[in-house]
Amino acid sequence: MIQLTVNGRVRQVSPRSHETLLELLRRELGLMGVREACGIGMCGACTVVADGKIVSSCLTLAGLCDGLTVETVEGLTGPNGELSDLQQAFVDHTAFQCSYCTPGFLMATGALLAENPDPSDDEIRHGLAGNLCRCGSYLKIIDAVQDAAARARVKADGEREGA
Amino acid sequence: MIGERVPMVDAYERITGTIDYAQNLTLPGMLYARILRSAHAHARVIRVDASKALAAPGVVAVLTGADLAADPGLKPWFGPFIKDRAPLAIDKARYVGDPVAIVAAETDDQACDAVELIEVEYEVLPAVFDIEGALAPGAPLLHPGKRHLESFRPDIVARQPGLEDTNVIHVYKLRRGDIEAGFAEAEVVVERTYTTPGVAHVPFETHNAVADYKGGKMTIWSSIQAPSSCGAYVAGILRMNISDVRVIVSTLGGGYGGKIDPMCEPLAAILARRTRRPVRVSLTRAEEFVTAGKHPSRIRIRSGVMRDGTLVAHEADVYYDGGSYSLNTPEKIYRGYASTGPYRVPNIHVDSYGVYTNTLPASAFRGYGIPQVAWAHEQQMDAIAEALGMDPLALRLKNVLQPGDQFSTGETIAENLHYSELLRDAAEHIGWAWPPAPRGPGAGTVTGTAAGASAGAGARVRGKGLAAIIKGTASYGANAVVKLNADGSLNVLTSTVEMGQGALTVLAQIAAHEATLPLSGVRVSTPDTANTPFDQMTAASRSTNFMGRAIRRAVKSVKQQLIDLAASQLEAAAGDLEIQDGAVVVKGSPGRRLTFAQIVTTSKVGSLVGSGHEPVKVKLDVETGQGVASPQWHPAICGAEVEVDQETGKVTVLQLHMGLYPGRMINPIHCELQVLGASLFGVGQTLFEELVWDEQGVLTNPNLSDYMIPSFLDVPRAFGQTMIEIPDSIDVHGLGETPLPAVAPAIANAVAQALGVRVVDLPLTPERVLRLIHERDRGAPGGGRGAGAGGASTSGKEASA
Repeated sequence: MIQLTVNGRVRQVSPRSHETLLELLRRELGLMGVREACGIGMCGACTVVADGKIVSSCLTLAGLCDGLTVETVEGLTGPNGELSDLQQAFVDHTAFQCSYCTPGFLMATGALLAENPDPSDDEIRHGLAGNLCRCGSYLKIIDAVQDAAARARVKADGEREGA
Repeated sequence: MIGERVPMVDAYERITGTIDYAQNLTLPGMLYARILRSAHAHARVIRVDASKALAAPGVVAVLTGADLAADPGLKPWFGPFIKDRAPLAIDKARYVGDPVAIVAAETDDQACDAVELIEVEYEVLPAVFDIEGALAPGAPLLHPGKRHLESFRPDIVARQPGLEDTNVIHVYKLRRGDIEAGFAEAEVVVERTYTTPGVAHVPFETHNAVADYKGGKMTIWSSIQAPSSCGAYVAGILRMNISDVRVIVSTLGGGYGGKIDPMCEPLAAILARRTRRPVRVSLTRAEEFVTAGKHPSRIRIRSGVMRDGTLVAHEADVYYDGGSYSLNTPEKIYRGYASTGPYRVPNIHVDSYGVYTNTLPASAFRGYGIPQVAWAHEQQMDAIAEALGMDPLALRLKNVLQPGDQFSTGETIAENLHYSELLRDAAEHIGWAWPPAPRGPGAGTVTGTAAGASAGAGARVRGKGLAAIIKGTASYGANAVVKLNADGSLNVLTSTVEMGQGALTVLAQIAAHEATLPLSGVRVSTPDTANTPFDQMTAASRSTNFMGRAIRRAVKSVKQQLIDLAASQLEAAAGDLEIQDGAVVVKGSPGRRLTFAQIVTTSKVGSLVGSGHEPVKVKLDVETGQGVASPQWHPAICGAEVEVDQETGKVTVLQLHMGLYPGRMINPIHCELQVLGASLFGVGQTLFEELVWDEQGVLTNPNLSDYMIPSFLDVPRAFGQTMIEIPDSIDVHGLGETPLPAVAPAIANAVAQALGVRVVDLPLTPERVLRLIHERDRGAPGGGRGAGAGGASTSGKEASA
């Protein structure tokens, strides 16, 4: 039995000896937004935020995660299911097709924007190069990320003015 | 709402990670099944000893091919055209990865462990791995003896006699005009051979299915693109009625053609009926790579042209490597009709073959046989232009199909497909000029190099290329049912599969438009074959057009019923009534109106049901290949600019400009996404995607480390698309596959312009390009000859007197 903090809630979970964090999150916690595609850390579909850093959950041995704080796509929405600004931007631009890779892109984009609130086209391409989209929605993703970044900057400016 | 950029109707579930893929489903008491696959490319299965596996913890059942053959309740052989495949290898395994046995256990881990305990005794047989090997005299035969033909497409299988005891799956012949006279008339003859490799679909959700057998009924939840066909196959295999097999599909994590054939469903169903437990069959990523793929091809084209560029003769041998089982190959090889490209050619002789080899069964793949012939015919056009000293754009404009021209199949292309307009537009977008700007070493424009280095081996050179392709669609009609409810809302029942292309959204837009309802008043179903009408498959860029038309017919039927009911309710003549905004109104008297809800409620019928069928008629003569090959034709143009690093052989695509004719864009967002996605599929296949087998037939790169797919870094810096629309229409041309075939030859033509030599074998890996550069620099004979299998010859000859 190990303890994880997943999307703000403390959870006691029992990983199997060889189980990855990806498998554990799906099997025990039913977090189906965490998805395996390549299984070897090449595609980014299983990306989650672990202790503030993005990781491939398919390469993370669950048994070694005791005490870890994990954020998944399921934690992005508000208390009543409201979409985050980033999610809304992805919807507004339809920055997905089959959307299997979308949760991984959202988590990686969150990390990118935390580091760089105003990324250029080039910085988005390189910042998200570890996430693959087989449907090829990349250019719409650039639009969505830049839109989300702009919304976040407007919000931050508003908060500064309001303060 | 036609033409509106509405978000996907299931966008919330997609963006929150809560959308239901088949892989998410777990049923109470569900067993997990894992497949044992052949380690040999061609081997007789002598004996399978499953005793240790059966004794392993948690194991509930083990099935082998012999078990299937011995079960009187099963008819295990199946296939869309030739019944040459069984869910497990019965007599012999035909490729490395062929399913040989399957274990069902309480947990997935137990199933995986038990698979390792099955002992198989094989008699290894000689194997063939490519087209040449398969057709060589005395080659080992994959499927000797009598063939069992499926009869639903007699036009396709009519040519089968004579092919038994060969490795030829099927032959398509096209004969038009007088080929000998054509070559006699020709002033220049260009002959080349082009090849394309096996390629993987790589859907992020692998194939998977859950089957549950209760009360004599089979329910299957699946990731399949063709639920209706799947239900029919499973019913046939298990000797059940189609009415007792229910296939349910929610949405797919990618399909791209690879999920048309049932790969997991028959096994899940057989195990579910045996064990009386729900059974899940899922593929690992490595298994996915050996389950479906694109046909490798080898295409020789000999073209006869006049010095002014007029095409007068086209001769082609087209070989598609179908792998170990025929699947859709007998029909796919008909795409040899497009080996001419979208051009007028009066004299044509094409033989197109599907060939069995001991490799993975090649399946439908985005583009369905057109990318292979497009790779050949569009490089051939540039080779012809080179032989004539002519502008490749001018050569295309001179020959490209215009309204009223006849295609290779003899059918008249009445519709304006806008080729000339789209070619000129793409040329303008990439800054096409002829002759090209001054060139650096070899050919092409030297760019971005340090002063003094421009003449060195490290020089980067640029080139531009164009390609035009023609693509048909599938020869299947479509069916839809609509149900107007008592509150005036509309259910649309179809078996169209949503796999990210936006079908649910776009079909809802069409239904809402026809029904004069808001989008929120329409709900399009996902497939559930117990409740939704038959549809052959969601493929071939056909759904928006054909299913859209079927839905409109179904809605029209309900509208007629509404008018008939309202006529008595309003005491008006039916001819005086019309439908506006969800109501029936008396023309000229807007006050006299009844809403749909009022009409349905007043009539006490509870709901109104309408059905619609959109027919499709195609027929080609089996001897000449002449007739009608497709109910509709789609054009695509690609303009490309590349930079080639002559020191490393690396090709960078700087710009792609796509030209399409979508008819009316029902939802421009999804049109743009389809064009973008198909184009990037093309970039991957052009530059690096290739399945590589070793000499034993083992796939060496079944993972996303060794098999690369396009990432953000492969997206061209400049990407544009021109869409020619028909205003005020809802006529639609499919886009899902159409852009793809144009991409590879456009890039290759750009590379050829940059280097002065032509790569005739895909993909354009740095190794292959570098080898070609070295051959060029050594002045190797046949400068146009590509690395690998391709060859070339060009001959000038006098016009016949």
